[in-house]
Amino acid sequence: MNSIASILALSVDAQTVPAVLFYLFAGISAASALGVVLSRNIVRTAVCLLFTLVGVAGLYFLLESEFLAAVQLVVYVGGTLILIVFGVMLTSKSPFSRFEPKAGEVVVAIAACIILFAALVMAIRSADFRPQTLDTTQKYPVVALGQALLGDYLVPFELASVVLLVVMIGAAYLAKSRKRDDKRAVARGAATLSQKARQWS
Amino acid sequence: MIDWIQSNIPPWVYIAFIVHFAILGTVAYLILLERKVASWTQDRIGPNRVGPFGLFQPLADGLKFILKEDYRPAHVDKILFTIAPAIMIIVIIISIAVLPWGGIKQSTRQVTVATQTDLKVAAATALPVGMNVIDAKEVGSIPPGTNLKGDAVPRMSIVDATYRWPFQITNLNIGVLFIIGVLSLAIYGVVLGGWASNNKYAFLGALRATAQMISYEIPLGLSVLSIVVLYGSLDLNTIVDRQAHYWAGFIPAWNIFTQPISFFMFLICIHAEANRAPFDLAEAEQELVGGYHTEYSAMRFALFFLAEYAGMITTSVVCVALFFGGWHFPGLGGDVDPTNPSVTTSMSICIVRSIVIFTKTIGIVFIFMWVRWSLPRFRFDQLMQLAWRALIPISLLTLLMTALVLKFGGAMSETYRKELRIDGGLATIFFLSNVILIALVMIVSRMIPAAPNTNHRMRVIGSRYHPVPAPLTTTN
Repeated sequence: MNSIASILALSVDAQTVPAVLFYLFAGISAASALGVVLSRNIVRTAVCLLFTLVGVAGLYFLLESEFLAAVQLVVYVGGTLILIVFGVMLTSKSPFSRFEPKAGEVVVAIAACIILFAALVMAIRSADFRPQTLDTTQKYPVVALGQALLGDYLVPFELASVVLLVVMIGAAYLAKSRKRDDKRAVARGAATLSQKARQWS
Repeated sequence: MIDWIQSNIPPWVYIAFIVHFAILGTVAYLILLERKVASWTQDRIGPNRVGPFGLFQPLADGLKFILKEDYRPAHVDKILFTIAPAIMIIVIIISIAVLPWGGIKQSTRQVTVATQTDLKVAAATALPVGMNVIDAKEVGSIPPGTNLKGDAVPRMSIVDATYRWPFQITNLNIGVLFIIGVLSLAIYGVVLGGWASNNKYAFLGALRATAQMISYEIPLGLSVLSIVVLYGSLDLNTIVDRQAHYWAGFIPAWNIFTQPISFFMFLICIHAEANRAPFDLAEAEQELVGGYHTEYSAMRFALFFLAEYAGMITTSVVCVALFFGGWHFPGLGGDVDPTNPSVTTSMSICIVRSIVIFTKTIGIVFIFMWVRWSLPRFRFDQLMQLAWRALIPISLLTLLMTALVLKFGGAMSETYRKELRIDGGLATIFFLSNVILIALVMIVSRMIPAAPNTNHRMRVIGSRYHPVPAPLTTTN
């Protein structure tokens, strides 16, 4: 009955579905990563980051690394990003605030991006992308995972937990209102208030 | 045609259809049940106008939601306002995928494949993707020849393939972790909905929800961990399988008996994660109008509502699988291998198991409703204290206790060392340790100084904290 499948152009072999899903998840990640950089609204940035991280988790699922994908969801999406959003919401004065970086911040950001980009390019160039056959039937022994995380890879594991702290500080920094602007805004607000009070009296 | 369907469409496709329709259909009736439970608690009759016993009420409600105007206030963040309820419902639907329903089904089918040395691999290619072929016997063969077009056809074997597949949509071997990870996304629906509404009540509701969910995810994870430590597996199906036997011949070996503290903590945390009373500070009607969904109406509001109830079902299924032996029910076992009770060859047993797990789930959901209409809402500082001063320390202690009992008691127990099942003796040790732990916590908690009362009441003039003598009123 393969004829029906071919009539419906459903010649789905084992490679098609993963390929479609790969482009889907990769597209989601890339598009929303662009959104992170281009959006000026801080909460929209966070939402774009949410979709980036979820897309990457989907890629991990495609690579049969379910544990990594679930941990990505728990740690980055459920923990780190929600801390960003929470920090922004708690500390920002007006919910629809846009952030306009100062010149110094732009310089620092560009420097950080260049270093990160160079590191990524070096990592990608040195990686071996030959297709390998993985034994996907092998189950995750939880004991082996635990020993790997708290034994062989203890230092990276502990370093990753610093991310939460960095995120908290970063969110507070991004969302804090500039002191001078703040004073000016307060003064302006007070002026309008007193004006209104005069009108009403 | 049937041949093609059998060899290409895996059974999880049908299960996915049935499970999603069943859960989303149940959600509608859960809302009716909720109203009925509310009225029983408050000594009322409840909805009984639409259809017999009000059974058509959910249909009427659904129709009403569809027909209402989909109103969106001005000055909202349009994109986020729209995707917030969508995120909520999508997340819940994804999490349904890994719930265990009927254990593992073993089937046998005759397939014709080209002869090769490893018939198991050959048979797997003729079956749908994801079937675990455990046995393949050659029962006949077709000699090599040519087909009608004149192409050469190799020797074909007729093979009796025995294969196993989980009777659920998909069986991830990190099922519990996946559900916790995916459900932690549900909070984005609440946060974004509250933020995008540009309304201070909605915003306050979203803030409260965030703080609450961050806090209660920790004891939730820790209480799940004490079960994971028990069996060394994150796979829900395995966890259920290990509970499917009896102590002393008749007591079902469910974790509610070995880990009662963890069970209660898990129950509290899923209440908090579901944002339901007494943890419904995010939508406290008396203070915040409706909390994060104040500005939502019509179907968008209904999506929030559906997601809440579907989330309740998902977490309840996980609760049943972790603590109430999932599909296991006295008298209902596998028929293939006594050491592996989840495997069965009978389709009807799989279906009965699904019904069993569903019935248990409805029982847990009933507890949700019972609690909602019995307990008053927490104050926010009480909510935080419950999580950080009570649940997290106790769940850490439970984890420590589990590890210690397994270290010393597990070494003595023959059954546990061999097949990781808790036998009667070990279960008794667990139960006693739980009792001792509770006693210890009660004694120690008396010695710890109480938290400072941060609830400063404003002495509003005329309230009971600052009474003023009532002015004399005269009536003519």
